[in-house]
Amino acid sequence: MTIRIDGIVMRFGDRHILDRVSLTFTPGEFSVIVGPNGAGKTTLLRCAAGDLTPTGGTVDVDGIDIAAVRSEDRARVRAFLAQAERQDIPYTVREVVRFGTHLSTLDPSEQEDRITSAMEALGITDISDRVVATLSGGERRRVALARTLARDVGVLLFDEPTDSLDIGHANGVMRILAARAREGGTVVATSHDLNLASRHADRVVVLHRGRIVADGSPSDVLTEVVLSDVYACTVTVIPHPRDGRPVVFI
Amino acid sequence: MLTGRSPWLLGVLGVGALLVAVVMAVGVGSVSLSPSETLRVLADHILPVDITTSPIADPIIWNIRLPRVLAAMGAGAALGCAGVGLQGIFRNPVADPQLVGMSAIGSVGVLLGLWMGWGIAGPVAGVVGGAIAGALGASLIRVLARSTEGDPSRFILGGIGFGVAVSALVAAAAIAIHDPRVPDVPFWFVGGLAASTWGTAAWTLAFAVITSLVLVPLGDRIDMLSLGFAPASHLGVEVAAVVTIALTAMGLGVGAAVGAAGIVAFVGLLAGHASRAIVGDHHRVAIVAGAVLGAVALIAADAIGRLIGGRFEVPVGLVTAAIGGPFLMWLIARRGPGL
Repeated sequence: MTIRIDGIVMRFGDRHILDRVSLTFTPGEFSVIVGPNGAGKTTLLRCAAGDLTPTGGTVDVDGIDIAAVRSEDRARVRAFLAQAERQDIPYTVREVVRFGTHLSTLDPSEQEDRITSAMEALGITDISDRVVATLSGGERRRVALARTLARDVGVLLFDEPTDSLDIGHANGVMRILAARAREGGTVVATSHDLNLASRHADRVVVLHRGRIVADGSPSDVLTEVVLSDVYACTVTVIPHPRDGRPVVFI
Repeated sequence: MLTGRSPWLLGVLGVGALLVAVVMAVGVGSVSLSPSETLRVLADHILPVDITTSPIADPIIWNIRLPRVLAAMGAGAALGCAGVGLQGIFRNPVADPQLVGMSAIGSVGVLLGLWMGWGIAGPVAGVVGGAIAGALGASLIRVLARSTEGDPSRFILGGIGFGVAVSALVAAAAIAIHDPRVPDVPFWFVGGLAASTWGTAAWTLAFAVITSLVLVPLGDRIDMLSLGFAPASHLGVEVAAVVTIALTAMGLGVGAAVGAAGIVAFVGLLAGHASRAIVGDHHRVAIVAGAVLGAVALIAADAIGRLIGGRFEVPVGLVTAAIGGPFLMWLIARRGPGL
């Protein structure tokens, strides 16, 4: 499924959060949106998810105006994991991951397989019977990621998926998202971790003050000129000795 | 904890608890009656057999106490399942129909129903009026929750302030109307079941059943609201519709409960916590358990009020407040800042 964002504008009062942003996200591609705090990354992702209706412009997923349809119809098209979630969830890990399949048309055994494989991928099988409210922040994040990955949809959107995760788990999560894209999914995430984006993304979009300032492969986009300007600090970029992908230092 | 137990076992336990509560409560009052006497009178009226009963016990049980106990059952069931629903939807451990102002909304309709009558017989008009006002006004609770931006403490404080203000206005209006069909001031603050009839009992039970029948199928969606409204919406839950339908159903039952029993606090709070402690957090089961526990609690509280008050019975709301008030303080102390 293809997400088409055409000239969207988002204003909150006098503030322009997004200014004529146009992007197309296609199946088989793992795209990561980066940019400094307040750049508009979350707003852009929420518009793509249909969670926010832009002030101007359009967003559609395979021709469906995603913000105009009911929550249930949106959820049949895309999965979206936001940053914030309640901490006092009284259900077990497996029960919360199962929430992700409640609209699934797969038969129950296939749904259980999806739940199990999402939990295995995120390494939470051993805590499947624990109540989510008793988990650490990182464990709760992995539960939410597993719930999103268990969804049976073609479009997956993640706002800061590696938030609260250590580098090992963060790397594992980004690898899983890239794999999901290779299986034919349209996968988009926001991130503050430029090196994770460089390592795993097929495409990086740099957003600054609500506008796209660079869009392309990690090697094309993650350059010293672009990053020093956007982040307002001196940035050094060298190629990774193994695969040549850019590695960012400050 | 009975989490995961067979629904049949839970059903049998629930029905058993209700039957025991009814039989015991019917025997309590200025004339004390034994459970066997109560069962004989009930059997004589319900079963197609002729059973010899006491000419004193029969009218007391059948005309006075049984309608009162059944009205308490209906009101308690509505308050109990509304307590579970409110605590689940707003993830607020101290949510209760009275504390969030839902009972006060119903009381406006009760007053209007009793005063204007609308051609409905006696106190039944209060039950119907309360149900209508409760259902129509339930969305005000959503407005209150939204205006307090999800802060559980502000939500409850706002609800208490709103509820007290509305109750005061309703009580003042009741004084001004000065109509024998409208109850005195205590009914609007601490409740009372003395005016119960078969009509109020039947209508209150009917509204409580409707409330439960609407809420139970929403149970899975209410479970998902535990993630927060936005994450639940991302999973495909139509949050606004679920909350509106649930609040309307709860308002219907709670308004009817106010018509039958007046303003009674803490039943929903106690039933909500008790049901979760017994059957767990899955709302399909917890709502039914809350209804049963709320019914048993209100039947018991009313019986205690009659038992300790003698000829001058203690209003049911005072009994629930005496138990629920300390429980609320304990909850707040245990959970610390931000509830």
